[in-house]
Amino acid sequence: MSNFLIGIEAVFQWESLLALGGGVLWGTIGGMIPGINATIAMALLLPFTWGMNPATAVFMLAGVYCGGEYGGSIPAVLIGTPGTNAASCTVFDGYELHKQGKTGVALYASLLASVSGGLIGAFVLMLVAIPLASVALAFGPAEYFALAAVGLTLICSLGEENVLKGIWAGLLGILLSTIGFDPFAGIPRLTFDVISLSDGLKMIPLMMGLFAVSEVFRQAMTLSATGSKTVLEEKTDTSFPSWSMIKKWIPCNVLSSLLGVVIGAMPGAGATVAAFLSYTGVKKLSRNPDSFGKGNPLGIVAPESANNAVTGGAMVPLLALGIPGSNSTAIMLGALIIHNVNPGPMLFLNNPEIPYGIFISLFVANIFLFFAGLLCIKFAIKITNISKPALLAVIIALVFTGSYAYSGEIFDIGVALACGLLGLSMRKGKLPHAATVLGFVLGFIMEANLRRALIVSRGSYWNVFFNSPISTVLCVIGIISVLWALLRPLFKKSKLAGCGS
Amino acid sequence: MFKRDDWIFGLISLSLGGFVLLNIEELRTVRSMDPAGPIALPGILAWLMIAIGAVHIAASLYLKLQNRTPSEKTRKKEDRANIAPVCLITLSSIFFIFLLPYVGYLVAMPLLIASIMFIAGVRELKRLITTPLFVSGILFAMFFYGLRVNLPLGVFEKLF
Repeated sequence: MSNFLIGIEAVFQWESLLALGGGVLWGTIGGMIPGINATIAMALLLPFTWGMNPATAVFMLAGVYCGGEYGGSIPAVLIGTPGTNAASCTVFDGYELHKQGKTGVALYASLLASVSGGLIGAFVLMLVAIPLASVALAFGPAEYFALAAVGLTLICSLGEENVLKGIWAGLLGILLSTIGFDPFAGIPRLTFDVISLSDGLKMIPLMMGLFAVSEVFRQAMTLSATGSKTVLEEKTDTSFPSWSMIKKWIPCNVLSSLLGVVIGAMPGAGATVAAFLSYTGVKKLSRNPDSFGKGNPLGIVAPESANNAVTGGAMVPLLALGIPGSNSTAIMLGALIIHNVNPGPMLFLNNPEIPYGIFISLFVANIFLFFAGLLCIKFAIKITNISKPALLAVIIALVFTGSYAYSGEIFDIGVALACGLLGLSMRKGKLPHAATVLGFVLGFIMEANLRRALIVSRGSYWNVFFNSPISTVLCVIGIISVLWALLRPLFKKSKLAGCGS
Repeated sequence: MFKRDDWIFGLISLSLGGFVLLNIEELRTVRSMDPAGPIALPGILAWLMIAIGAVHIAASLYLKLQNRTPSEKTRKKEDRANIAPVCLITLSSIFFIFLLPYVGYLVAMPLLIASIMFIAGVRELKRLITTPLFVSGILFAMFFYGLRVNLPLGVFEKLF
């Protein structure tokens, strides 16, 4: 208890609160800019921490982390462009709700889910930081592979009319993730001697191309089809959702947040995987799974709760073991080392104000996040007033600048453009491009861990899939999930035939 | 589940699968420390794509023979007519990509924004000049100064 008081004392100093508030605001703004994720926003702020004391520096970075994970959802809702990878899932229902004029519901669902997800993550972190670290360590390559495979079963349900097309789109995503240097043999695969491809395709240009550029193309086609070059003024409701609506989101929020904490605690999994898995889970548990992707607020609540709860989970290996589980926590680790603080279990004894301060700072950061979110939403909502032709041009400018900013390579602008054309073709062919993004996100995790597991099991696939209880359960869930998706249309058909007769 | 025109998707799928198989063939002799090797996953993906493609071609041919679903020719004609803005935006973007390293961000980006606005139907000269300059200026300040991204400066290299 006395250690928690030390943490409270460290956080509730004016310079710590100022740094935390500034960090949250910077993180939210950074997350809103396509191409800048929480990690980059933290890295950009790192030089400014040199003059600070170690605890204040880490609190500020924790604030940026929370803000960054949330900020990506605002452009995802308003312009269909996820500001961060973790906000990709938010586009599916968030942008749909915005198009239906329910912008307020989408933006505030995302804000409330992020804040409460972050608070739940912080609370769980405080309770189970050390026991959860041992659970995370029980995950070996086979378990990571099985987890990624379960996540991939979502692609089956994204196909809507044609399950096989959903699977094909997911396979395309995995195939795109195999481009570049092979992680084990170290030789280039499918690079066609293009040097820029040897490092593989980057997530930011691929995702922004598939989502944002293809949407610009689609809207340009619509403008051309309607023949009216003037702007269509659509009424958008930007009001705060009612309590009766919010309370329906609570169970989904709690479940997704808990999932986010667990995924966050696993080194290497991250916020994007948590968001996709949570979206899959909620869709599968829902009584009305067909409403997902068509403007169901739960499709925003689930990924946003999970990706913000990851912040709490990601601190688990960092604080309990001194191992950074994600790029963002690696930067926090760097900040500690810069300030001559040795991370690891001894941190709780030598510098209790840092780990216990982080527990408290995550609570405070999420409260600040609510106000920073309200402020950013107020400004961002003005985007809806921009004329459509100008908005289309601004989106392209933002995507191309963001793609270049991420890697510093003009080649990536070309990738975003090519992915935009691919996305448009996929829309026309009724192929879900969300499945391609999911395949791309999970493809590398799946392949690397499968091959690692095969080395451990000396080539035995049976041992990879069914040697440990965790991987067995996950593999069985995955198999059932695929079979259900493939057989469901047949069941539906026979049911309809039954009704007809 | 299947449509008459799915043979197009089937052919694309078959071609992509075949293309991947041909391209990974040269890696067959590479020795890796893991039993699967570098071609296992791309190979499996390619075969699955070929299988899905074949199923779609077969289903499409079956439906064509049965003449079950109506043709989508009218919709396709409309789609073709509306594709012009997509082609023009793509051409402008390609032009932007080639221009960027030589003239720099501050010249190339306003041109791109102006051209997209023009393609989308804006004809007022004042808007075609002010909006691109304003947006490019803000983006440049945000990324170049705020985020320290080394945007290509081109002709303005000596000014910064």
